[in-house]
Formats: sequence, structure tokens, C-alpha cells
Amino acid sequence: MTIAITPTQVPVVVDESKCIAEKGCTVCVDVCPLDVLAIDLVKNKAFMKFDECWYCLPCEQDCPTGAVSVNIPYLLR
Amino acid sequence: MKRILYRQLKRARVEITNRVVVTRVLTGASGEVAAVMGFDCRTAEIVVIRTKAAVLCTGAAGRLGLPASGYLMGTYENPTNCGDGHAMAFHAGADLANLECFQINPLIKDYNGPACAYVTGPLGGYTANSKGERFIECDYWSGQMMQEFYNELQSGNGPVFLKLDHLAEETIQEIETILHTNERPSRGRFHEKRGNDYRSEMVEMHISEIGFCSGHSASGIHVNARGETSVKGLYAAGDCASVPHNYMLGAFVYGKHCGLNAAAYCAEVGHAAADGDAVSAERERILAPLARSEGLTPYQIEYKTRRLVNDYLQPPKITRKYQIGLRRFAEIREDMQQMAASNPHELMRAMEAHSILDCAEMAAHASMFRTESRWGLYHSYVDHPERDDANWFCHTLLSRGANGEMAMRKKAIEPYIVPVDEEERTAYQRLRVARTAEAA
Repeated sequence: MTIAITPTQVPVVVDESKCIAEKGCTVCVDVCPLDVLAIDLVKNKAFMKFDECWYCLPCEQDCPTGAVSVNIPYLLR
Repeated sequence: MKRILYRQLKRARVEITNRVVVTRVLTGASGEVAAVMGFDCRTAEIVVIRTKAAVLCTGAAGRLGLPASGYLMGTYENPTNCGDGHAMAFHAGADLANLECFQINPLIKDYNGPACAYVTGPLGGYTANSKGERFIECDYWSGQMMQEFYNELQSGNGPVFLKLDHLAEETIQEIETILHTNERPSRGRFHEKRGNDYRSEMVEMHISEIGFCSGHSASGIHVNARGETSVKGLYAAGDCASVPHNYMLGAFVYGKHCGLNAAAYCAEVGHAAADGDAVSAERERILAPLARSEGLTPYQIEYKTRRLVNDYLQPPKITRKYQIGLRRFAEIREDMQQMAASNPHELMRAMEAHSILDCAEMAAHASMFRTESRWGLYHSYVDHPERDDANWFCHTLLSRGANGEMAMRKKAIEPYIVPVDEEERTAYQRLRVARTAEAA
């Protein structure tokens, strides 16, 4: 049976104008307990790759430039 | 906490291997620890680490039941803690204790974080029914508290709420500071989105889905006072180890015991050799989903398993439902042969789905074995509604039988070091607030 992709709005938003991943920063990626943040290798910016968020906030709190904001996942809020 | 821990590890020059998901503890010829095995969740590289001893500290099984929201990671426990350690211990041949004593929490509805009535208690907050009345004497959670919560809902007085709106402004501000910065930093924004202000509205609570946890409950990988499991060289600490109500403090204490004892053990023994066939079999099991380009996704398998856990295992427990549940789980076990993963991260979720299914089966077997009710809602068994100390004042141990099946047996309770007063023995039975006759 073939696999389909279903779009979903993810809880974590990265303000690309503030993100410094292109300078080598990976703080948000490193600190996520679910390993769902990643660096987009084309844009060189962080983003939430999988909708598997615990809304725990270290990504937002540890980001050195305040680029990361966490929304409560839609299914909960 | 993690930052402090990390600094200490760096100072002590502890070698850290990150991003490797351990799936199995491999044993040698005499059943002792020989190696741990897993894969890198970024590259899917298979990793086998020879070791004389291992300490399991994988936390609670927090992705067992499905939350009311339906969001797989919207759990009370950190969702990375999905019962991998419990599954690993089982497959390594270790005993697991009292898995029928489920963790069921009084949580903020949908958010699934703790309402923390017991944190607000000293400041005047309390658990209330829909009329704003207290119905339990003590807000500290326990199986009996959850039973009273359940009874209150059944009697039509629900939902149950956390009541703070009678408190002074300064008190509420203090509560907000504690709860919204320390316990769960995102709680404040959840309430804000909902227009929930502690000053004007009670906070809706609900009975959570089930899990295994020793911190908030009393089950887990069986350990003795030295942190040893029943497998030589295997230790366990924290929420995955069966030290009831040990929380973070107990995790650190047992972590220390396990570390010291494991080190002493290593000094005395040689390396065991892991069985080559076991390594190959596990390598095959791990990589299988990556080899499939079509099939069921880990998301589908996990969602369905956890939904079935809710349907059939959520207390009050009924034997007939448990029997049906086990049949459903067996079907999913078959479906695992079709599970496909398209990248190493999905592979991690696929392996977690295996552990979750293992834990679901363990929860079912353990529950059906203890033919009495105990621990309030945690093991509220409709077919055996009374507590039966004559036959069941004991631990239960679940372990792997000769054919890989889940086998149950009893273990006697050790003599108490600190005796319990007669008065205290019945404390849980006096949890409900007694209502005296009131004038109309």
C-alpha cells in the first residue's frame, strides 16, 4: 500500500530574519528532546521538520537571538 | 538540570555518545550483560557497544495510552520516554514489577500538564467538582484520589476543576510564577489562548491516559536496594525502576547507587561475548522498516496501538476487554511486518512503536494476573472488586518465558523497616470529604 503525505501546521515557528543557523548555530536542534528541529541545508535556517512537539520550550528559551517561538499544538489548544 | 548534569559530565570527562537509540541489551552465555545495541537516529548506522554493565534510566512509559487531544506527543511524561527501557529489560530477561499498578494522572484537560493542586494547596487552592465544592481531603495524587475523581465524574458532579478564583491577587500571582516558569513554562500560554484566568474561572481537569511510572506510581523494572535488576550487570534507576514514588530525588539516589555498584561489578568480572545470532537478528529487526518503500507508517501503528490501549486497558479493568485487547495487540504485532520508515528519524519512531506495543502487552498480562483490586483506580478491577490481602499482599513479577511469552509470578513483600500505624493503614479509605447533613 502506497504512502501519502498529509500537511500539518507545526507548533514551532522560526523567524528566519533572526535565525543565525548560517553561522553554524544549532542550539535549537541540539536542545530538542524529540529531535524534531533541523537546519534546512538550502536556506541555512532552522525549522521544525516533524509535527511531534512536546511544547517544552528549551528551543525558544535557548535560542541566542530569540528567533524561535513555540505555539501550543493546534490539537491541544 | 540538564545543563548542570552536562557540565558535570564534561568536568569528569565522561565519554558521551549522543543520538544513538539503544534498542536491546544483549546478554552472554550465562544471561549476563554483554553489550548494548542500537542505531544512530540521524544516520541509521547500527551501533553495538560491548559492556560489562548497563544502567537503564529511560524514564516512564509515557506514550502508552493516547491523550484526549489525539496528539501523540501531547503527553504528561516527556514523550521521548516511551517504554524503551521497560521493553529492553523484558527482552534481556529481567523481571518487571507491579506493571498492573498504572500511572493515571489528574491533568489539565487537553494541555496534559499537571494541574498541580498540591502545589497550590498550601496557598489555598484545591480540587473541586463542578459546583466548586471539595470532595477529597488530600490533593496529593494517588490511586485512591484518581478513584474518587472517577467516582465524582460518574456521579454527575463533573467535570473536576482546580479552584483558585477565591484566592487573593498576590497569591494568584505567586502561583502563576511558580507554575508558569518552573513546572511547565508553556502552561501560561495555554491558559492565555483559552482565556483561562485563575482569577475568574476554575481550570478544567481530566483523568489522563495510562502509563508506567515509578515516580508517580509504583511499577517498573524490578530492582533491589542496590539498583540491581534480575539480570547480572543490568541496573535500573529513576522512573523506569520499580522504586515507588521516587521522583527526581529517588532517581538521583538510585542513579548514584547504580553507578557505584555497576563500577564495582565491572572491576570483578570479565567481558562476556554477545551472541552473534542475536546481533544479526536485531540488526535485521532494526533496519527492516527502512527497506520498505510502501507499508504502514510508524505514526499509524503507534496511534492505533495507543487508541486500543485506551479502549481496552483504561481502568476500570474488565477481563473480557483485556482479552479482546490482547487479540488486537497481536494483530498489530503482525502489522509490524509491514511497517515502513523513510528516514532515520522515522526509524526511531518505528522502533519506539515496537516498545510501546511491548508495554501494552505487558500492561495487559500483569493486570489479568492480579485478581483483586488495589491502588484505587490504578488497578480497579471490575471482575475482582475487593482488595484481597490474603492472596495478593505481594508484588507481581513479569518476565520472559522460555518461548518468549510473558510469564507472571508472585514475589513476597519484604518485612517493613518502618511499620505503618493502624490509623494510617486506612487513610486512603477516608480520602473522600465526609458531608454532614445540611439544612435545606
